[in-house]
Amino acid sequence: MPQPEKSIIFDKVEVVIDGQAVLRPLSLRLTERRIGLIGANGSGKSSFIRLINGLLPPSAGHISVDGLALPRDKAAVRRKVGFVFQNPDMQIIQPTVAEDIAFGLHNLRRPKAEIAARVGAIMAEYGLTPFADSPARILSGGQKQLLALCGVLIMQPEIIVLDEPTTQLDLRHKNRMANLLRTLPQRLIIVTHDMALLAGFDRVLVMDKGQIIYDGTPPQSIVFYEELIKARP
Amino acid sequence: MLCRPPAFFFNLAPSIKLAALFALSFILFFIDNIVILAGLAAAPIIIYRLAGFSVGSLGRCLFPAAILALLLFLFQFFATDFAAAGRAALRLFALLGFAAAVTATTANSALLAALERALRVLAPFGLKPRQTALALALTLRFMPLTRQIWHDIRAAQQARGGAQSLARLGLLISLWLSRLVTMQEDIAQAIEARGFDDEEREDS
Repeated sequence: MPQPEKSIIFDKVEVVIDGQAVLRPLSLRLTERRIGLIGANGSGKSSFIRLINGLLPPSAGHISVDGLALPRDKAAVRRKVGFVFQNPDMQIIQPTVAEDIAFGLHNLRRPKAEIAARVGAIMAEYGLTPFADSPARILSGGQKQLLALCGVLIMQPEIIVLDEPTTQLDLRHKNRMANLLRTLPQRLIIVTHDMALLAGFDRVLVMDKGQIIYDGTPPQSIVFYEELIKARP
Repeated sequence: MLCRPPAFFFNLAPSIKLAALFALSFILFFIDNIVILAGLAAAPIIIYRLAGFSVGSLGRCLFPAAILALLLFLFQFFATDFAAAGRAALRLFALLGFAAAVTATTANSALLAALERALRVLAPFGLKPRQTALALALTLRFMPLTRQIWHDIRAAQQARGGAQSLARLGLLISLWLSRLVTMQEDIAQAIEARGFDDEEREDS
């Protein structure tokens, strides 16, 4: 049986909230391993990425992820697409570090021994073992972002969507997060204002007023975006 | 963890600990003998001491319970009499002392899983055990954050000067509540993104 193509397809997708077009009709096919999304605040970036795992339903049009249709296959899409939110404080749900990493696996009702083994392994890999039983609130901003990422990685998603993953980080943690993201084998879709993070990406989309207004390589898209911002009062 | 109670407490199943605590909370109200109440109040202290823990670590574990019991004693003493105040304070101290031992020796997830199992008996009456357990976990997780938000807004107000007033307090409360509503929306999305509703669908 042929495997479905690994792609995210937007077919005439539109989002209207309270009578306002947040995302104008959009058709797009995303097949690359590293995709960036840039644009001014309020341009529709967050709405766009929330469509990918069904957090936001489209007002019109169809979305499919590797052959799975939304909203019909929402649960399967969620297992395939991990989502890292901008503010890790809102993503960390359980009181302690180990418990929070285990949250998604508990939702899948994995056996306790498997959960313990996988949580232990991922904490060791990302240096969180010393904080296993610590309350999440005592972690630094960088550690919280790492914890949020580990909570997603443990689910072994094929695609990870990240909403401004370095916005709240200092330079050291920003560099660490950028290096970590480069090593991840998953397909990544990243919304960012940090242009350096897009180095080596395959494709960068520029959004403005609910539309994709440019689609190119990182250097092309960044130059386009900078010119756009310069031209604005 | 501030203190480390005896190993057997760690090894006991969380459901047994919760059931014992639940039973104790009922039994305590039927005991009026002050000597027995004193014995029950001393039990957590004896357990910790028998395990060889220092007075300092014992104090750290039971200090909050002692303060609350003392406040209750003073209130009751002025409202009723010495014996009634003593009984009320001993009951509270015994309950909080055992509760401290339970929470200090059990992982939150294990405690919540046990609670979820216990709450299943109420499922036919419309209670959703999994949601209830998650709500408790969220309370434990976000209580410090809501406090932090309150302090942040208050600090921002203070930084801009002006005198304390009722209007300022009202503004502080309304800003705090509005931040909590926004936070609640973000948390709901995060829970959804991590597959919680998918499990609920499979349950139903």
